[in-house]
Amino acid sequence: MKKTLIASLVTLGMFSGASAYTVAFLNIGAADPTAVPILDNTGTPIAQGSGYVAAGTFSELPGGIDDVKANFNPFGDGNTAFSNGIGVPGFFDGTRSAAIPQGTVDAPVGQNVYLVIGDGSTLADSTDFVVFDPNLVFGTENAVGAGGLDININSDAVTPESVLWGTILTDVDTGLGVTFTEGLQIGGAVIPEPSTSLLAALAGLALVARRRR
Amino acid sequence: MKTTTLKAAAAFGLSALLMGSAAAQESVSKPVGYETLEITQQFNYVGLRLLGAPLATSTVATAENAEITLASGTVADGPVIVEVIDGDAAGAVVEGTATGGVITVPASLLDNLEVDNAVTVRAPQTLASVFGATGDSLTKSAGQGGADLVLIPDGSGGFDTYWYSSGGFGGVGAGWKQVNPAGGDSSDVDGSAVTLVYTDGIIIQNRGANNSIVVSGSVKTTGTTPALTTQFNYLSTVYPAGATLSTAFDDPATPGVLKAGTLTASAGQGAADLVFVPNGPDFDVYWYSSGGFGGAGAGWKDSDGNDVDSTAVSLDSASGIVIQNRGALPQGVAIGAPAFYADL
Repeated sequence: MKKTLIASLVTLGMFSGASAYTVAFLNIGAADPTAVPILDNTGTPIAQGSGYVAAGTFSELPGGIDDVKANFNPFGDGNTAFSNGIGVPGFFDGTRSAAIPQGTVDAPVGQNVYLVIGDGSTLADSTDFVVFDPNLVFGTENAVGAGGLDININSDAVTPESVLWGTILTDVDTGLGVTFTEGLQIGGAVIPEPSTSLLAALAGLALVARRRR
Repeated sequence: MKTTTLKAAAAFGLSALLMGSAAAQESVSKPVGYETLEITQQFNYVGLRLLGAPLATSTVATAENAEITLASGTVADGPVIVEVIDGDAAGAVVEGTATGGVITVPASLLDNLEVDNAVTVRAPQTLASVFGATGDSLTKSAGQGGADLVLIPDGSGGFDTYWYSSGGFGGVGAGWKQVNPAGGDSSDVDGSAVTLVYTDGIIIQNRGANNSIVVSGSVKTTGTTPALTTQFNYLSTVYPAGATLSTAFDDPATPGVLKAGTLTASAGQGAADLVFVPNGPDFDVYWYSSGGFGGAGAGWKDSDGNDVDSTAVSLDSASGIVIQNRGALPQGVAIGAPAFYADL
């Protein structure tokens, strides 16, 4: 029975536009100041057809650029270059898809999804990154093979907590006649390593305990 | 995927529908008719576009404490479908239970329904009334793995799954079954007590040969506003002939322009509600772009971002569609009836 169901889902996945688990991500949900352009480390919006953007998981949260490259696992398949229907630089509107049949418990199910944005044409070729945490977790498809997550980077979603790596800019003018409330620039920030944070917390607790004595 | 015998009727203003089913109560249920839903192998997305007979159409006399009464008409005790025709809740469709002239409805309906609003109360369709008391419209099997499965949205993103068992040796245990989602086993269920709300799309996983199901009933002539859950919503297109993407979702005064209060538009496909229309073994995907800076390029698009003429996208062959909802909840989606339905 289980094999039959899985085979059916695979068949559906081959022909059904509503099948598979799809992560959609964009930074231009509305063409107004709430959109969040991505700039490279020189302050230039990343051009259409250039750059790298993908949703996926981290085997371990990165502490540096090399860790981003080593620890990021892009989810499924999808185009990684910047592309949007409006045709303006600095913005992407993409998806990545793969099968996560209902009942799956293995990775990436239950893991946090992250968006990694680079200035090169591939992850490896990128010199620096923006890492965005939408605070979403991978689930599974439903009984008929449909499921997904949506990541919409807008000015409400950009916070010091959601931008793990990269620089938050304000009042950004990319020459489109719009001043964007916020933008994101590749590089320029440090992701605190979990071990470092943990050590800092433990040190704080130790200090409190010592004062109480 | 599906064909309808009502297409020709649409060309004649649906007058042919009046020659359809005799099961409905003609005094209050015109127009009526039947539709043949073609069921191919594996997954079929269908909707019930011919509805249970109207039992009463009336204004609301009282509306409080999750109960309503009607100003006129009588409704026999039992499960019913309540659809709101006007007022702030216009288009809402809910399940109810009639008892002694009082109809119990979800309390949330009364957030917008008021006394003197008009409602129609319909007999519900059920698993048994649509697929047969003994499941004759479906492929039966002694085991779940060999039977057609009927998946009905449960309102929270999942499904309730049913099938008809041909029984064990000697036919022992034959009957409608419901799958336990936790264990995968099945238990007996009364097919005549499982209400099918006509706004819901139904997914039929056909394990047999290509098949067809004939559905008869009454045509709805007023608008419908089903509530959406997050992500994937399986809906009926409600109107059996003459409906298009435009009649369903556009402002009737300006075809091609999305009606306010319905789908979520966006500058990018990734944040817009997507409409999946079955097309043979695949789907055509549509969304409404709010346009670029200054609104340039706003309008209906396909999944490749090409402009789409929404008046040319027929829903006649798509009794069921899928809407991927990216908007915040609560969100309803107002599905309009084709304009000529008002004259039926």
